[in-house]
Amino acid sequence: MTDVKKKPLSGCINCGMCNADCPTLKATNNELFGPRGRANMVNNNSSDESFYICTLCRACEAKCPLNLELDFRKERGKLQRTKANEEMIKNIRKYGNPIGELKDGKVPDELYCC
Amino acid sequence: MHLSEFESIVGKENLNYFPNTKLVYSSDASMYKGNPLVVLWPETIEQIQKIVMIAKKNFLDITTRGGGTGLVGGAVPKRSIVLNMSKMNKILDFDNDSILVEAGIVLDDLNMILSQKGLYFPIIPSSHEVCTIGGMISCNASGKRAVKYGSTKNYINYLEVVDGSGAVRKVNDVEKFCGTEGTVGIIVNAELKLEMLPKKISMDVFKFDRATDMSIYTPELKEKPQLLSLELLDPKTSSMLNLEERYHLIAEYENSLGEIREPEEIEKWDSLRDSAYSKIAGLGYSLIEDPEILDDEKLAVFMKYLEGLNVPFFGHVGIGILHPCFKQGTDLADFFKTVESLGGSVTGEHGIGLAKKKYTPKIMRDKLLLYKKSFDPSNILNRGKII
Ligand SMILES: Cc1cc2nc3c(=O)[nH]c(=O)nc-3n(C[C@H](O)[C@H](O)[C@H](O)COP(=O)(O)OP(=O)(O)OC[C@H]3O[C@@H](n4cnc5c(N)ncnc54)[C@H](O)[C@@H]3O)c2cc1C
Ligand code: SF4
Ligand code: SF4
Repeated sequence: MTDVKKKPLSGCINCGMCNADCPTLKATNNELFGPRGRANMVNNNSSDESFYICTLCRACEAKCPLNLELDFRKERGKLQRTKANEEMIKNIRKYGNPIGELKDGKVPDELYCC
Repeated sequence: MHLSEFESIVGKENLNYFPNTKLVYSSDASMYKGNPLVVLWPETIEQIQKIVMIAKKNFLDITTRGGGTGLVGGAVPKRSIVLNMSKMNKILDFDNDSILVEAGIVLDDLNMILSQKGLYFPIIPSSHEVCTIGGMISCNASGKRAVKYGSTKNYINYLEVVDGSGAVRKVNDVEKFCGTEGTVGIIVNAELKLEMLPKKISMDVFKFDRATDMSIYTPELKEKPQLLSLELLDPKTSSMLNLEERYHLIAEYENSLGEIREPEEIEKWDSLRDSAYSKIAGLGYSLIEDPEILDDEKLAVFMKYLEGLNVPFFGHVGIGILHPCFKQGTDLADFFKTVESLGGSVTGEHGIGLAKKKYTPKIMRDKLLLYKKSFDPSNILNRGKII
C-alpha cells in the first residue's frame, strides 16, 4: 500500500470512528481521553493536561477513514512550554546544562531538572 | 444546580462539569452542537433511578449517551445532564440463543466475546466498532446485513428501562420502544437474540451504469436464501472511494456462492462500505439522509431523482434504505416531498433527533406523545428530540 499523506485535523467530521481502539478511552470510559475528544479540543484551541494521558500510540490514526493526522505530540509540546521548561532549554543551549552557569561554591536557587 | 446531590449518588470520579469535558460531550457524529450541564457516568440501575428522580423534581433534561455515533443529534444535550452509559457495559447472563447485556456495551466488544462461541448479534451498522447496544435500540439501527436480519428491534427479547419517574420497567413490546431515541426511557439492560456466525462468506460485485440496470440483479439476488447483504454505491460515491465511477452492487453470501472468496478481498469491500459516509462527509457532503423506500420500482425512480440532484448516495439497497449525502445547509423540502410521494419514510435507520424534527410524520408524533404520557409525563427525557 502507498503511504498516503496525512491530512490536517481541521478536516475532522466528528464521526468517532477513531475512538474504536484507543487504550486511554477504553481505560477511562471518558471521551475527554479519547481521540475524537482530543481532536475536538485541538480544533477549539482548548488543549489541557488530559493530553498527558495520551500514549501517543496513534491507534486512532489507523482508524480514521479520512486519513487525518492524529499526532498529539504537538499538543503536549505546546503544553510543555512552561516558564521553568523555557528556562531549562535556554540554559542547555547557552551553558550545555539545565542549571545554568556553573560557578565554584554556588548552589542552584532553582532546579529545573534532577 | 444539584452537583453535590449527583456527586453523592455516582461519586466524585463519575461526575464532571469542567469546560473541556463539556466541550467533548456537546456533540455526536452529526453537525449539531449543544451544551451539557454536567456529565455523569452511572454504574448501577439504582444510581440512574436516583438521578432521574432529582431531574424530575427540578425539571432538568436528561440526554442519554452511548457511543456518540448518532447522525441526527439525538445525543446532543440542550442544557441537559449527559448520562454516559459507557461504564454500564457488562454481560449479565448468557445462554446459547440469547444474552442479557447492559446497554452501554459496544457492539464489536460484544461480538468479539460471542465469536468464541460461534455466535453473534447480527445487526451491524457501519459504526459497529464504536456504537453501543443502547444507542442501536434507541435508533432502531440496521446496517449491512439488514436484508437478512432486518433491524435491531427484530433481535431484542425484552428491555429493562428506567422511566421518567425513576421506576424500572420491563418492556416486552420492543417494536414500540425501539427508535424512541432516549425520549421514553433509559435502557439499562437488554436481552438480545443471537445468530450463528456464518462459517464461510463470499461476495459478488456487480457494476453497471444506469440506476435502472439495478433491476437486472436485485430480484434474483433477493431470492437467494444465502444472501447476507446487498449494498449499493453510486458512481459518485464509488469515485470518492477510488473505485471506477460506476454503480457497484455488493452482494454478500453465507457460503461460497460468490466469486470473491479471499478473506482479504472480502475485508477490503467491507471496509470500503463501512468508510463510505466518513469519506463522503470529508469531501463536504456531511448531511446524510436515510429514507426508506420499500417498493423496488419506486426505489429505481428515486435513484433517478437522486442522479438528477447530483449528490453521492449509497446504502442498504436490499431493504430499500439509501443514504444520499448533501452539503450542510441544503434545503431538503423537495427531497422529503419526493420521498413521501414515493410512499417512503423519512428515516429508515438513523432516527429523527434534532435533524429531521421538522419532518416527523404526524402519526409518529401523536404515537410518541401518547407513549411519553405513560413513560415520561414530566418530559425530562431527551426533551426536544423527535417532537
Ligand atoms: C460512520 C458512521 C456509520 C454509520 N452507519 C450506520 C449504519 O450502517 N446503520 C445505522 O443504522 N446507523 C448507522 N450510523 C448511525 C449510528 O451509528 C447508529 O444510530 C448507532 O446505533 C448509534 O449508537 P450510539 O451508541 O453511538 O448512540 P448515540 O449516538 O450515543 O445515541 C443515539 C441515540 O440513542 C439514545 N441512547 C443512547 N443510549 C441510550 C440508552 N441506553 N437508553 C436510551 N437512549 C439511549 C441517545 O439519547 C440518542 O438519542 C452510522 C454512524 C456513523 C458515524
Ligand atoms: S494516540 Fe492517544 S488518542 Fe490516539 S489511540 Fe493512542 S492513546 Fe488514544
Ligand atoms: S475518525 Fe477522523 S474524522 Fe472521524 S472523528 Fe476521528 S479524527 Fe475526526
